Amino acid sequence: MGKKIMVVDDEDAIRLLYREEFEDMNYEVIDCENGECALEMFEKEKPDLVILDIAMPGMSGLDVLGKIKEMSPNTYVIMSTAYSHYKQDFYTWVADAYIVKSPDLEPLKDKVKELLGE
Amino acid sequence: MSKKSGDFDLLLYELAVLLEYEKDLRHTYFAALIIFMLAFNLDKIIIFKYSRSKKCFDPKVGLKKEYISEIKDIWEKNKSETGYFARWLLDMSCEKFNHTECNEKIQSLNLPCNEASRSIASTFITDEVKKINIQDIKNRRIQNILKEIEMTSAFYIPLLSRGKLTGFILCSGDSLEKERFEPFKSLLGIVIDNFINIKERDNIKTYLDKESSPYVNNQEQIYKLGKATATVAHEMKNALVGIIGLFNKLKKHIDKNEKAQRYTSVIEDELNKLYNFTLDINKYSKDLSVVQKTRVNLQELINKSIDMVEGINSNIVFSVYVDEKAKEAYVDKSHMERVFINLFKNSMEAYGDKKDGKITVVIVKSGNNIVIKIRDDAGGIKKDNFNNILKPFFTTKKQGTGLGLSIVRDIIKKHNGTVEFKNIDSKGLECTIRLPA
Repeated sequence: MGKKIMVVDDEDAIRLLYREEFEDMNYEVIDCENGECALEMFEKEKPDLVILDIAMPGMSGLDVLGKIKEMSPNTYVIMSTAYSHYKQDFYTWVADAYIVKSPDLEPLKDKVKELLGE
Repeated sequence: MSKKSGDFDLLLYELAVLLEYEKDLRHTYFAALIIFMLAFNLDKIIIFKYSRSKKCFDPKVGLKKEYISEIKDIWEKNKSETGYFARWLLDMSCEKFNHTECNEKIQSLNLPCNEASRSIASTFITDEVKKINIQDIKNRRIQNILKEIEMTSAFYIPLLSRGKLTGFILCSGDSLEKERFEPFKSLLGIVIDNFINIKERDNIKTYLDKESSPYVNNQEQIYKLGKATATVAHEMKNALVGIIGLFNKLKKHIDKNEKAQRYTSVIEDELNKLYNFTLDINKYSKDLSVVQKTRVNLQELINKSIDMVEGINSNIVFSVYVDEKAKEAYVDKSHMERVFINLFKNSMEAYGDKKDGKITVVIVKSGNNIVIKIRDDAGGIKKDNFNNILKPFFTTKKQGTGLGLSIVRDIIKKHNGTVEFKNIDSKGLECTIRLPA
């Protein structure tokens, strides 16, 4: 089995899309629709990489990012959000990459490949 | 060594001449960094500028020794004529430096920021010149920048103006002495600070010009509209990313039936149209939420805001006290004007038809804060309503939108301040705003 990716996004369609794309690339994919679930699953499943939405109801992606990096600083986290201008506001310095959500999945896939070294 | 030191002094003079006449910040970076490289015989150099609005450091430009070898010849040939080199640099075009590999790398590595990143950055950003090793930098992105341009160890030179950091330089070369960087700490720092101030002044002017056009006249309407549209666009975009992605997968399962193909292509076009539309809306609404801070005279700002609301109820008397130490604040002028107008309107409306209402405004400095108190004697707020007054769309008035005080809260929040309300002796309401001075 390939490396494990966790997708955290409140949008059902995006979770399904990412899951299928990354499974096609032979990764194991787990997903969560909110931050609370993400943290719980993170501890249990210990993914190699997390794709994290920023704007979610309840706990924001940034809170989740902080907690994940606290628990496991070496796990890769890609922040993914709707617009690039949030880039300046965020602590994405602690994240490993920042991706603007787009129907074109290539940049995200490339980033995942780059970080997971394949 | 003596020859070197002579060059150093001459170059320092050229730098002073250069900075006196420079008109453009980006050009200054290049010209000053070139002098820097020659003076210290550096291999590589990058300058970072502090962004006040973002509270973090952005890499601006970088240079390598090989880019400036021709310029070095010009310096060597003409150094006997003082001022020549500075003038030459002033006329120099920066185009070729903008597109060097080193610079494009630096510009593509955007450094986002917030609390976490700031605290990481603060581990090596200080007011002291020092030598740093790439391994000691905990921030992976700054590490990446240094790796990209193959800097394994570097000198860190803070740039200071009025005691505050305006940026810093990272440079490398052989046989560098820490002390020699000292004179540059404030020289470049002040120049950068000045450019930023000028730019901010121009920005606010453009903003005010824009604001006075009838199109953008009703700020509150625009604010509401902007906020709502941004939310709608955001939700739409998020959903569309998933929909279009899944649709692309679905297409592979659709057979070659002519009708099915046609429907598919129409749906695809429309989806893309919608998607591009969300991008456009976002560009538009972003402008409305921009905060442009300048040094603002609070007395003038209060006076102007009072003028604006006078028409609502001319029986109200304002008393204003602005302490000498708190006469200026670093705020977005038109946003703060909106804050005062909303608060004044709120108090004035609370007085209703009463004849002798009074509104007191007191502005003082307390610690590191500017404290603004606005007080009325119009009866205060009922206990039950206290928790709700800052919520959007909450109102006790027949004509109210319920947005006035929530806008106040949003604006103050954007200024990193706080706002609170309390009843005073059951006689009236006091609003206290605290802003970082």
